[in-house]
Amino acid sequence: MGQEKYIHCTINGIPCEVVEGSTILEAAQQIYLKIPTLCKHPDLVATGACGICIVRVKGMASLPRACTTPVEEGMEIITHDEEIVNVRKTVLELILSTHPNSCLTCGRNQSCELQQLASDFAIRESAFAPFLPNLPVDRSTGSLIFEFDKCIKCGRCVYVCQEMQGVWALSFLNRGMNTRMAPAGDIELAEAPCVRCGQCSAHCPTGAIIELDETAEVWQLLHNPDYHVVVQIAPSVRVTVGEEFGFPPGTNLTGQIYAVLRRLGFDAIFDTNFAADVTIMEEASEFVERFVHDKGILPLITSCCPSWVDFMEKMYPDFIPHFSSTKSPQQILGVLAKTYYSAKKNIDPSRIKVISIMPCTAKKYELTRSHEMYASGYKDVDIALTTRELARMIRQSGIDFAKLPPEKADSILGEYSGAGTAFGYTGGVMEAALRTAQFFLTGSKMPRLEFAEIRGLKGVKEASLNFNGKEIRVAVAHGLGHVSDVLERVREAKARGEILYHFIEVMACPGGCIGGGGQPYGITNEVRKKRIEGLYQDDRSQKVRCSHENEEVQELYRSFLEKPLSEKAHQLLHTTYHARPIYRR
Amino acid sequence: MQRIYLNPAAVSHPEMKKFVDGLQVENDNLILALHAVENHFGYIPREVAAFLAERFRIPMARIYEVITFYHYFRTKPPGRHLITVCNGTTCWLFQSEKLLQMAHEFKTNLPEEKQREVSIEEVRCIGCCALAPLAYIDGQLHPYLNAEIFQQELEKVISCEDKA
Ligand code: SF4
Ligand code: SF4
Ligand code: SF4
Ligand code: FES
Repeated sequence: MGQEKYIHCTINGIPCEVVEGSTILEAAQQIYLKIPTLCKHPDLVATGACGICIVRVKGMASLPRACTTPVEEGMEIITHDEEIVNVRKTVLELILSTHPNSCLTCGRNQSCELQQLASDFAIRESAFAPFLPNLPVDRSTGSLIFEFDKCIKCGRCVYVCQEMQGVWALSFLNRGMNTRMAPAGDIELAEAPCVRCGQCSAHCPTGAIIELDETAEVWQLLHNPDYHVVVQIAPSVRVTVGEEFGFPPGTNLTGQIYAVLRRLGFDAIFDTNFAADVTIMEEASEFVERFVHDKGILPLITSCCPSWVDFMEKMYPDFIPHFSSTKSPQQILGVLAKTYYSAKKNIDPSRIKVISIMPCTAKKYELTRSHEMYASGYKDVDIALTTRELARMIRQSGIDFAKLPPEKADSILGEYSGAGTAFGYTGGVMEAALRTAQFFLTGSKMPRLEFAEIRGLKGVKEASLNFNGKEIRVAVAHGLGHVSDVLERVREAKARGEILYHFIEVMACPGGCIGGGGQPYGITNEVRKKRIEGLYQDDRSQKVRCSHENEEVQELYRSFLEKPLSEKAHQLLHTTYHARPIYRR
Repeated sequence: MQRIYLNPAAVSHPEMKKFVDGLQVENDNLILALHAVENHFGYIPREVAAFLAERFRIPMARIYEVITFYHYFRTKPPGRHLITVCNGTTCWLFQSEKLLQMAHEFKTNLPEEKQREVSIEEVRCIGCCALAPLAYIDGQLHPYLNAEIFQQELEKVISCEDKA
């Protein structure tokens, strides 16, 4: 990297030194000054669509937008004066004139960027005659609800879906006043390539795209004495849910979450991390089968992310044979609860209901993805809630979450290793698999645990490892927009008869599950890093850091599954993939 | 670079197939291709849009962004009856908005299967301001319209054919 050049400006009279190329918005942040924004998101390139961030620059005739205007040497910038505030108010009033203003029944009530600004700017009356487009609500995905009447046309979702995720399910249709965000042509999202990652909802400033809320259904089950309702929490949720209650990102609240779930009335508290350890037992075994015994094609590709699975089935069906057939941890916990746990505790599986707390809107889709998701003879997982929905349940219950003393998870699906918790961040599944694969391949009791090469937020990460003289090349991609690059190269190598990588991990969301579409709002790379650090620490603080050393997992294989890839394991823990049309219409 | 992902779009309709097989486009210009499609079919059929997405290696969503951006392109076949109301400044001053509204009301009052046969279009000035307000019904120009005449003309076209 070249030497960074610094330039100088004043903002509201305060001298300010910034790296050349910084925008006025960034410069203001440096001196702890917030310029309001609606269309700009830290993850996305500024488009200058909304106009709320205008400022005054001495010598410029018009009011430039802070999010798109770079600072120049000697600039004198004013961020707040009477005219600026009035323009911002007008921008808000114009938006509100095409807005349903139904905050009380909106999924973003109290977490809406538009609502916040309307409140900050004391908008008290409608200045313009209202005009509502009255577009139909799209509930077709079963994971997300698109209520485009609440859309302020900031464009974030379209950039997220097209650039960050490379899915192109959403587009800008029409123009001017009539612009709307929608799939290609007059079709519903479920008919478009949407993979339900929910990244659009995590970036939308308003309630136009929200997760399907299923908390009421969960309460109903909890209040029904006929059911034995068990719950699992995903790896990442432990370091994110705190943000909804004022904790800094990355605060590990595993014990408090167990405690609050117990108080909410769940009959048994399990941990998806346990099932992640089981996933690794199976997946690492699959890897060894392919790598050592030539049974199956390389690279092996991870499959625990349902958006990624959906993406691959639609866009890259030729990679189906590369996919690990091992189910995701969510599904493994579900099927084990309704078979293994049910048998041990002598509870009829028809009475068991499994709820999962997930970072992710696509996990709702995964529940019914294929007939293999009913391997117990019942729907293996009944309802998947996102982190945001869990936070809502906690608030409804009135429990002072922050003050609860930590508790433990329940046996026999609750113990976890550091490898299990690693599933929550990009590179973590690979790391977990490598820990156990090393043991399987080399018998080493002291395997290498951390792989700095595949950690961090770079879009595609690679490493070449050496296990007992054998080279293993791995790649890790996160954010679906980065996947095609890797897969195209694998395809080309394949055509030449070469194996570019032996093992590839993909997670659909930037940062991995900690950046999932169902996580608390306000995602930025800073937040991602803190959440990841929280999981690194959780991993390091575990006595057992490899999946194969997890005692409850060992017991599961001893008394129930026999061994990884056994017939029973195949029946319960594995799945198949099928090419799906990109457009259903 | 953005990639496309498309299931090879087999264009199945014989007429469409013949057309896309013969489609020659200079410099692979998408807009020119879309114009050729629009001129041939009177709209951009979805199947052909998918074919173009693959041909130009761009996502289908991008094609629809382009089609819907320009008023010229249609995504649905035009109805058997086309009502075109001019809404240029002069016609607008002569209450063309009202004519437009009438046309829509007329359509909504038809039986459902009939409705599908009627397309209503709004165009900017067509350069005959002296005749304002004006509209075309199935290609025939009707100048100096008022509500009464317009209603009569609309009824003429649709009911004639009912008797036939
Ligand atoms: S999107 Fe925001 S402003 Fe609009 S109704 Fe919902 S909470 Fe209110
Ligand atoms: S749906 Fe949300 S993110 Fe997308 S343009 Fe509308 S307000 Fe912005
Ligand atoms: S859920 Fe993901 S794939 Fe679907 S529209 Fe949103 S960003 Fe695109
Ligand atoms: S935030 Fe700068 S124009 Fe929208």
